[in-house]
Amino acid sequence: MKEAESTVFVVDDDPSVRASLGRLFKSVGLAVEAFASGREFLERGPAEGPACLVLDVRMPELSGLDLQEELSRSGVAIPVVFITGHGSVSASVRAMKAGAADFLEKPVDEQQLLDVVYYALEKDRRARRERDEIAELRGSLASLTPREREVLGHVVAGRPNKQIAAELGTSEKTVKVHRARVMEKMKVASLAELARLAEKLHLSRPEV
Amino acid sequence: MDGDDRQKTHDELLAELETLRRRLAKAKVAAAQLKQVEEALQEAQRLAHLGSWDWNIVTNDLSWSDEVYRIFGLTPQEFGATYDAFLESVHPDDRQAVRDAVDASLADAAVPYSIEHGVVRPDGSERVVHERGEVTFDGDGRPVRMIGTVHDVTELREAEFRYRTVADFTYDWEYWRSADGRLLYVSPSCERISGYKPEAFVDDPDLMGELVLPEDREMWEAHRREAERALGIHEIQFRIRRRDGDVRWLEHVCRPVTAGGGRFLGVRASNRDVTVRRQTAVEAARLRQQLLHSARVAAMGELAASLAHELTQPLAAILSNAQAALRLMATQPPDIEEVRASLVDIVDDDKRAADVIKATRTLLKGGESDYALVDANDVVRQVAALTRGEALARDIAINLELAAHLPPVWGNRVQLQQVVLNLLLNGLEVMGEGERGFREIVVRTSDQRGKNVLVAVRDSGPGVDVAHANLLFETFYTTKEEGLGMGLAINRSIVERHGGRIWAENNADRGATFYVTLPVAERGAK
Repeated sequence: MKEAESTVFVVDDDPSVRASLGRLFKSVGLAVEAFASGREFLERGPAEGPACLVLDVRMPELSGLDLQEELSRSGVAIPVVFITGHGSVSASVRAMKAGAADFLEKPVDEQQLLDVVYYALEKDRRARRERDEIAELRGSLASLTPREREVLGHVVAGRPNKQIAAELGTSEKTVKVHRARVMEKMKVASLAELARLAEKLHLSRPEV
Repeated sequence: MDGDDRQKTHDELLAELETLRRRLAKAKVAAAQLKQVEEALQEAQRLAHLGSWDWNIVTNDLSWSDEVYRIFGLTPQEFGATYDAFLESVHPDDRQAVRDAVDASLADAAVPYSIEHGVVRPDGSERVVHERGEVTFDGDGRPVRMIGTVHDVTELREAEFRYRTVADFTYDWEYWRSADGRLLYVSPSCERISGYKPEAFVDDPDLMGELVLPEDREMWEAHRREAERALGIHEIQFRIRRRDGDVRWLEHVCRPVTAGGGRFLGVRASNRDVTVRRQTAVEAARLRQQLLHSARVAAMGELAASLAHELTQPLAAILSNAQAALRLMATQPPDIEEVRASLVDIVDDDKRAADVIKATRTLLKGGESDYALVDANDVVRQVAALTRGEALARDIAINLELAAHLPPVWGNRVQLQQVVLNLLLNGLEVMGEGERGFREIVVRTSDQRGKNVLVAVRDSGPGVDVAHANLLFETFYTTKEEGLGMGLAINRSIVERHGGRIWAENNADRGATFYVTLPVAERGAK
């Protein structure tokens, strides 16, 4: 397990609630960083590793919901677990619609909270891996020449080399060379694999 | 007779004549002196309205001095006085009594003649006279002569009647206690109030003190000592138990009575039955308390969600700390230091929750607490803690800027909390419809030169309508949809009862500030 690398950010204006949550997460070996306000958390900057945010709904100045909005506006993707002292339906709906991982009512049962937090961390870890992967793929994709990019489009559309050659007005042999280059640059061994990557990158068939 | 003898006789006669002349001269002088004395006596009788008479019982001759004639409305020495003529002048209603009194004195030397009776003058006007007389008896014990006086006491009796009427018909229970503790006067109204007749108090000067309820007796005794020692007006209220067992509240006012030279003649006092007034006042106070209590309960109702929040926070912290502690105990080796820290936090949070409950209970409980020394900072802190959750729900921060040191005020803690609570709720409500973004209520306390404590509640709402600023503190005046308009009116009533002042001003930028000043408790107040 790589739990130690994961960080739980706790944002709660109530010092005793903040401290107690921190202690609870630490007791299961999680790294914790606590903040008294959303502003403080924003100033800290993005997390280095997998993380999740445990957030009080009601806080002076910047409420939990406002912070969530602010984060998604600035493109920071971090799972948010809301904790509220007084559950209001409208607040929970707003939070969940905005993509909250969960919405828990105080006092929170530790197992439920830990489960939600573990799940959120796992989700963040996977999302990060995905993001890394996509970033890598995008890098590979960017290394293709315009011609190779064109060939890739036709290949993932399932067209045979002969047809591609006809479309591009070139020889079937040249298409084969492009195709081998694409496979190499995209670090795939099979056509099926290439198709899966293309799917991930949302590559569509090139407009002809 | 021989010549010598005749000569001698002649000389002797001359001498006698001379003697007689001298005697006559002396007698003339004496007569003149007697006349003077008589005139002086007459004058004295006239001035004193005191006539004299002399009655020869054997001959039934009666002589009146001029003043008697005048008192009876007759021309002096107009006719020969007789006993019957005298009885004729006596008021018909008193005639028999006078006759009996005379007879009694004539029959028994030990019975003095002294009687007050009316006189009817020939012109019909009436006088009141006081007669005194003495009877002379002969060797056989028969009455032979009676002399006496007639004193016209009409003016005296009229004056007495006026003063007595004034005194006897007073509504309050009036009395005059002499320096040696006797009751010189008790008005009949004492019976209406105490159930005892005036004589009962005159006969037993301690009765009044005995009627005072045991709980009030010490106060009463202290008052009596003070009233006799210090000049001036003394006033107390105490309860007495009436003859029929009922308890009455008396308002007692007294002042020392002094003669011209400052001689202490006792104490003159009034007892007024203020039972009904006290009951009305007690009832009014009770209704006021009920009103204040209802308003507090209503205000606390608005805070229900906030209170839940204020209890949930420490409970949540306690739960997390306890669960963390359990986990820390289970690790090998257990992290005892951290477990200890958890327990310390649990204790603190438990106290915090208890404080919220205590503050809530105080505000919700009926009845009134007594006046005491109150720290305005404490009041603000406690109420702010209760309203914090409500403020958060509305996205409003409540910030406190409390003076480092405040002198205590003399007041009713619960009511002062109610004042701050109303101001905070008012602030939260007026900002309810305001624009989003950073909004805050600032509560500031300060010491105004050791004379007053100032509590200022500053909001960033729409501000107060200057044109209606004077209506703000009136009952049922409200600009809020759901408001009853009671909060600020109640505040004014509470603050003014504490001898303080409350007012509102618009801030230079936006919102309004409500100010409350409360007088600092006097040194030595307990």
